[in-house]
Amino acid sequence: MIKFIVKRLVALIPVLLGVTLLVFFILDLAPGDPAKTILGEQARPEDIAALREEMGLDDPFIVRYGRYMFDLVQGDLGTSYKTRDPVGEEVWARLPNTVTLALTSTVVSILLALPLGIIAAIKQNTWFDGISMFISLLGISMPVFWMGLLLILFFSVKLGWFPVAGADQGIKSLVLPSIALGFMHMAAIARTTRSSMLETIRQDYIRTVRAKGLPEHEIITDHALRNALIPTTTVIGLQIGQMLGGSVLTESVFAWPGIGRYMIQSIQGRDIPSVMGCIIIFAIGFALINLLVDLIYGFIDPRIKAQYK
Amino acid sequence: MSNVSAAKENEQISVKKKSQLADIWKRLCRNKTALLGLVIVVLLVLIGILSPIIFDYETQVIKTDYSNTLQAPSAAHPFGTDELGRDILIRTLYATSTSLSIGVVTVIVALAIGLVLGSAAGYFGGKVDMIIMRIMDIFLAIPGTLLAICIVASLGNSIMNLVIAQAVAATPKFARVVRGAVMTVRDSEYVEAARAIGAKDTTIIFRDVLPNSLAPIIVQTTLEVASVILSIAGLSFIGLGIPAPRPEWGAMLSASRAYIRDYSYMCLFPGLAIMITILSLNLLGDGLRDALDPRLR
Amino acid sequence: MKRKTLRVFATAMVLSLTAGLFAGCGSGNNQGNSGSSQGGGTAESTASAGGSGDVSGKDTLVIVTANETPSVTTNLHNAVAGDYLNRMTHNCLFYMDEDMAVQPDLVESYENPSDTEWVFKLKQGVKFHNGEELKAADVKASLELCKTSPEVSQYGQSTGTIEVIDDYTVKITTDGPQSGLLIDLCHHGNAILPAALIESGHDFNKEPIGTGPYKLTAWNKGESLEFEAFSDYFKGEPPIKKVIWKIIPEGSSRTMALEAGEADLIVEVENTDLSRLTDNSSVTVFNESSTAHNFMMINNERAPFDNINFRRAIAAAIDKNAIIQVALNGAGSVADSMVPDCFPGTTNEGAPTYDVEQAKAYFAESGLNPADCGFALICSDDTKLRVGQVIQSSLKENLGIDITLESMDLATYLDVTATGDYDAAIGGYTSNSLLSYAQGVYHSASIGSSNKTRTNEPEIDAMIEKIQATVDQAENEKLVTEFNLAINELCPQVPLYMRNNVRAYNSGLAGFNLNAGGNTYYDWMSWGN
Repeated sequence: MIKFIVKRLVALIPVLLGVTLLVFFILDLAPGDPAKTILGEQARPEDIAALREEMGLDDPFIVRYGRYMFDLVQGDLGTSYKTRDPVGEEVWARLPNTVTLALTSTVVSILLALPLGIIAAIKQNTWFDGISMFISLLGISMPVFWMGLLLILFFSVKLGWFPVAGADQGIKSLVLPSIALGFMHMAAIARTTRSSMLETIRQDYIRTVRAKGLPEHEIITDHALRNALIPTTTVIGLQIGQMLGGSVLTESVFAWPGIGRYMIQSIQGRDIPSVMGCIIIFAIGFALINLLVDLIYGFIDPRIKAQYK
Repeated sequence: MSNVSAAKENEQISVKKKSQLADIWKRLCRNKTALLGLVIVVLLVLIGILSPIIFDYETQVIKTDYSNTLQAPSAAHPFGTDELGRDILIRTLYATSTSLSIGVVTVIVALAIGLVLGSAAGYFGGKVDMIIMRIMDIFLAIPGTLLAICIVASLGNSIMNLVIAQAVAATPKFARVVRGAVMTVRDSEYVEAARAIGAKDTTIIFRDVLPNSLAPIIVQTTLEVASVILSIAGLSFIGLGIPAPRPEWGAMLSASRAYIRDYSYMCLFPGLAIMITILSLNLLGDGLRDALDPRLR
Repeated sequence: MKRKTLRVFATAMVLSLTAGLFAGCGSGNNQGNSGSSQGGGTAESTASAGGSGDVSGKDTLVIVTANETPSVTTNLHNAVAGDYLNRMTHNCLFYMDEDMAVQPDLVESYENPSDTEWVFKLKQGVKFHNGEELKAADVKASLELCKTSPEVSQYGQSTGTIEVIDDYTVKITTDGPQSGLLIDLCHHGNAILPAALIESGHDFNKEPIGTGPYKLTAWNKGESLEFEAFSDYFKGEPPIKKVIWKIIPEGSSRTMALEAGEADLIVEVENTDLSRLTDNSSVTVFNESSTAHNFMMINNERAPFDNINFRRAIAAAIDKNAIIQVALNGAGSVADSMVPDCFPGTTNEGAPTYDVEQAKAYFAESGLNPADCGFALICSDDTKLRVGQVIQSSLKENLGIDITLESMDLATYLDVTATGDYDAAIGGYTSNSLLSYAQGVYHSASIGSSNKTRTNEPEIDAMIEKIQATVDQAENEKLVTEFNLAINELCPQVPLYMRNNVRAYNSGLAGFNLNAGGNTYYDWMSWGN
């Protein structure tokens, strides 16, 4: 098991190396000069030259990439062009916000999806099944930023219940972004729950239990649900990974001070070290979550666990 | 003798193929939601084709009219007008052609590259597989939206660059699906038979392997068109998508933000248009999945 | 059976872990919930409850702003957002008052023995936030720091050689007469920092130690900055004890925060909300013209912009009033002069004004064919895009010229316009003096950076240099007028509008101030009276 984890982590290294090279290269193609962007409309030529020199922008690509990687392997994400502060600090300050949003929206999506999926399965082919599957389809089809706008329009502008944007009102600030992002990810979870539930209900042992004359709700909660939730767990894990990406748009609709919005701002400011930092954090988070999902899955299903050795 | 039997076999195959298609069609028709999806998709394609013909881009789509800004929905402007006095209905319809064509072109590009890479990886296995898939892993290690954002930001806003960005982000997904599909048929008897009679690898891949792994690829293609359209809207929403003044749903929503309190109708219709498009493509994709391979259900 | 229990356990663990993390993060974030604006009702009704007059017992000022400063270190940025904050924590030798007149700040008195010599007597007993007293050595170190920092070094050019005469006397010997010296000394790049900390490499971004009325107590990146009154401030402890700057990038959210009483002052008022706020009795709207000159920059090196009559033709063909209505919701005024007309000595004389007949006449004189005059106009944000659309229809209608709008992000725009790789773009230049505007926008030394029209006229250069070297006020104004007439004649750009400085604030706030250059002094404000 530990050997498996180590192996996976080691396999992550070349991928992350590739990611840094790829992103560094893409950003290098970008038009626009970080020095001019920092100095703005009123910059003088000599100041631009001095700042470029200071930031090492005149060196060739290989030198800059090499320097970046040299620092990176020592755990240093570099210095933001824009703020002159360590990127690690900038990212670290915003990471909790992104993680909080990802987790609360996961909770929202689970709270919405499980009942929908379970009841839809129990009442298969009824109107409830149809409606709940339609709702979950809406979740996939509504762009998260539109959902966000509608939530703002209704709950913030019309009703005044929640703040329009920002993160400074604690739980109240968190409600709308979590719903927007959670709703989007509810669909996959609800559908998986429904189909695995259907599969379980048809199993022999459920039939046996039913024959024993147990009340229906007990059959569902005590016997069917337990097994049906296994694939759901996997999907939930996968969705958390997806949420890291989806949070970029959500953060920008709700002005949520997380990594996603920071990354967009950094891209606009040509703050390459900051963009790199965000991408690396996203990629590592993404990979770790996938690893975690694999581990949980193996823990649940011994057949897969056997492969870890 | 052998000629005759071969001809007969061919005939049988084509009959079989036809009946397979008919079967698929029948199964699709039985699925009411999928059929609904198909009908809407066809309607959207019609709107996409017709709106550039019906509406004049210069005078009806992008022309500003300051005496007519921010009008609520009325008979003259069923969806109202925007902050520059342009008719939102016309712009919403016109944007259909932009989104659909970019979605389709992107997916074709990604599919073409993904097909080559995925089938090479799946068919040859070994080192080729390893190298291709490790490179794909690098692309897959970054959430697709983020990768597309980086690429568009670097290359600059233009439709061409948008296609490139989305295609790069979508290619690895196709490569994976194709590879998986190819691997399942690679070792089947008819492929071995083709190899035994000395057919070239490329011939085998394109004549024998790919046609037999079409189902998951078709499904992925339909769903990917939806996800590309959604992603374009997202990029436009944060100002990295289709450059103004060309109408695009995400950009229209982004512009409506500032007016959400007094002119909330502005943020309704473009969003609705995105939702209907994505919903219908998803319904169709799901239906196709069920119809193409009942076991996948 | 055992296997099944394990599976259930795993599932439950994942779910509860998720829930647990959620709870943990939630409670951590919960502080700072002011509890205002609770319950139902529309935003409007909440506004009248929360935002109205009762300010008794209030000792906090909440300011909402669109932009987060890249830095609070005075010498490491030239951002407006950072300047606002530097004014709270630091002082310069001089400051600009509400009428943009230069007034002594840390300086008690000064003399000007010759055109190139300035002797400044510093105020005594001025304390830095760390308790040290301000001395002449601090001034010398700070002004020299400005010279070596690319972000602000343009404001360190006029200061020449700095000498410490005694603990409270500093002498500056300028490199030739410098009429812009005192104005440069007002810039945050010349803010006074403790010399010892400059030398020890203190991180001013973490702890911006200055002499200012407020101390930075917290910077929550991406969210807010918090300040606390400095009790030993040399002009007396400011009346408002706590100031919080909240970063809210979205315009209507800022408006709603003010209406709901969650905020007291909006720095960037959304144009579309202007009338709503003006109608709100518990909110006061400040709306006066600024020094921000906005114009269509055109590349004079490229055809057809190398044709002076063509430049005049388009300058006369654009409906600037429509631009102000469409793009600014009226919060601006028409600019015709090639320089901001708010500085002493400036004039509109000789600059083309909106006049379609005149435009057609100029165009006929240029001898150009409308079909050959199309160009791409770069617009780097939504407002500029709206401006661009008005220009597009004006030129089409009045001169039959077709132009295309090119949407571009700020970084690319700054790059291509600086290097001259463009036709036309919508831009602006904000300055605190005519001299800095003229040097930045029209002097040939600024080609490759802020001289984006690439105006390269030795005569103009000479005039600017003469303005720079003339310290006498009356003489200086005369030269300014002369220069202004010459540049209006040349018409190297298409002036569009002067943007207004707009702020909206809780009517209970007294002592609100804002000068045309955008400086606000928060220690002048108080709640009530």
